[in-house]
Amino acid sequence: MSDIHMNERTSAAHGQTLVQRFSNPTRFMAWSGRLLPFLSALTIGVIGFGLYAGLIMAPPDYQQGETVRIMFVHVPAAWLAMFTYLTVVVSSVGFLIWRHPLADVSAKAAVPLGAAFTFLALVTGSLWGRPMWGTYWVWDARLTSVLVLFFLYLGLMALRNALEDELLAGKLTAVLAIVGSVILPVIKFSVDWWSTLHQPASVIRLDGPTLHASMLWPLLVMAVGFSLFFATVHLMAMRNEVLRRRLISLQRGRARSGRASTAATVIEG
Amino acid sequence: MGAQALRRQLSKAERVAKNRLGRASGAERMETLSHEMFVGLSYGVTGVVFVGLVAWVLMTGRRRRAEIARLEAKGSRAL
Amino acid sequence: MTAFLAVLRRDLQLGVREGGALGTALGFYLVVIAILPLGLGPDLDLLQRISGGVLWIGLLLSSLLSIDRLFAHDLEDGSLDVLMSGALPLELVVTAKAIAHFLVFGLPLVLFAPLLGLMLNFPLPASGVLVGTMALGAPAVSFVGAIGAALTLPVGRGGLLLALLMLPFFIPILIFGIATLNASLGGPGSAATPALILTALTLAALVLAPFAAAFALRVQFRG
Repeated sequence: MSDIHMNERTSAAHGQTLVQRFSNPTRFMAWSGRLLPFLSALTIGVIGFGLYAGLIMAPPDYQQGETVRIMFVHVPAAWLAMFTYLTVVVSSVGFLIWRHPLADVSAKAAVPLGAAFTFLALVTGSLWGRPMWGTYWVWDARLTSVLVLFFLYLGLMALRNALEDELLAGKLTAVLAIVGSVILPVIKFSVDWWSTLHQPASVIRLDGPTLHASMLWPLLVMAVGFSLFFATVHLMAMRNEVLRRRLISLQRGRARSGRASTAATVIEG
Repeated sequence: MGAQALRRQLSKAERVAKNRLGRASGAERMETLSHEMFVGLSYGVTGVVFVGLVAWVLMTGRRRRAEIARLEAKGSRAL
Repeated sequence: MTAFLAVLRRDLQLGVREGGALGTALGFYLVVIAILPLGLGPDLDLLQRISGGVLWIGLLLSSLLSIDRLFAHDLEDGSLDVLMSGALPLELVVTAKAIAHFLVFGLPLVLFAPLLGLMLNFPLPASGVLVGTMALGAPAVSFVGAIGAALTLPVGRGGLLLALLMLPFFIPILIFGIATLNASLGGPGSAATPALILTALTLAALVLAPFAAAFALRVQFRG
């Protein structure tokens, strides 16, 4: 949008801090474009190694057998679901305080990714639950909290979609994300409390007893891989959003020059 | 010839029976089989979602770049 | 303080004068409860077992349905501008409006609940407990709902969106409200713990929600 271009001019005119220099949209496009090939290669490498470690090197669990391998995708997905929400909240705070358009771009790009990770955590959780519990879904505290997080992501997307004015949509979505970050721990606490009240007879906890080292390190490799994946796709989605805003600005410029071409040349000259 | 055909049929029946036995031999094998299926499904869904996200982001980016190039070629400039 | 009371009185008067909205909320509550046995079958034991939870969920839904217009009227007739530029801090304006919403909608819905409970075989002597626990939680519904009303104000007719955004936020109130109810009706555990947590949640909502809602309003009209 036009803010971005205004920002370019003002920050080019004045001296600026390091953060400002990195977050200037033109500079952002430049450095992210240079970084992305390395980041993508690293992501592919780490996830590839993580898959090898988790599917081949790690031994099957003496209790859960092969099923334990679901953990290597389920737990990182759940971690990233939460970490992505943190990213959304930090970006939202940044947008509301400093009004930097790139913070809104970051929040907007992260939300669908967070929803995807939450979705994966839920699906792999129930695929793990079927052989372990004999049912796809149990109202276990953990699954329920993740489900609520999924609803929150849906709400963020729905609110942004419902508002025509993009600047307003960004601000109100940011407010919702921050309110959610205050209420989420309360929901987590309530659901934990509720689930101890309604404890089923015997439930094998998904995380099981303390994790053996032979399981832990493939899990950590996968977690790093998922984080790198998030960083890569988030940067790509942010670049797309910057492009979209540039495109809108171009279309507006065109519409204006179409209506009064002489006036437009005067303005831009 | 009749004897040979009979023998062939018999051995075929034997094979089929063996296979059935093998497949049904204990719930244990069924269990591990279906456990592997759940593992496979989990990794499969994750793979599909990851590839889908990347494809979506790549295609959107390409479309926007093309559109921007088209508009700039027509000489329109940003506001 | 007088300005606060003036906003409160105005909203109460408006709410009473527009009795239709309250009628709609009560009617909705009635229909939601009445349709349940038709779906679940008329087994009175089953209905009694689920009655507490169903009455609470019905309360949440019908009070949410009535809150999406909390600021919309004031936006349409221009009085929101006046309220926002007035001497009374916007947080207090929101507080007054949320209190008015609780008095006009929340309280009648809460009082209506034991009557609907009769249809679900909810024990009549427990009505006092039901109304008491609901009265502890219902103010929080009005206050947290005000955040949703402020967020969806520019959408217009954002009732469904408001429910999508806000229902997850009511989970704590629902959990501790029903836990208090069940414990005081002879369920396991003491009723004091969930009752105290429910009260704490409501008080926190009373204090924090006006800031969030006022912030959401300011963001819209003052950039």
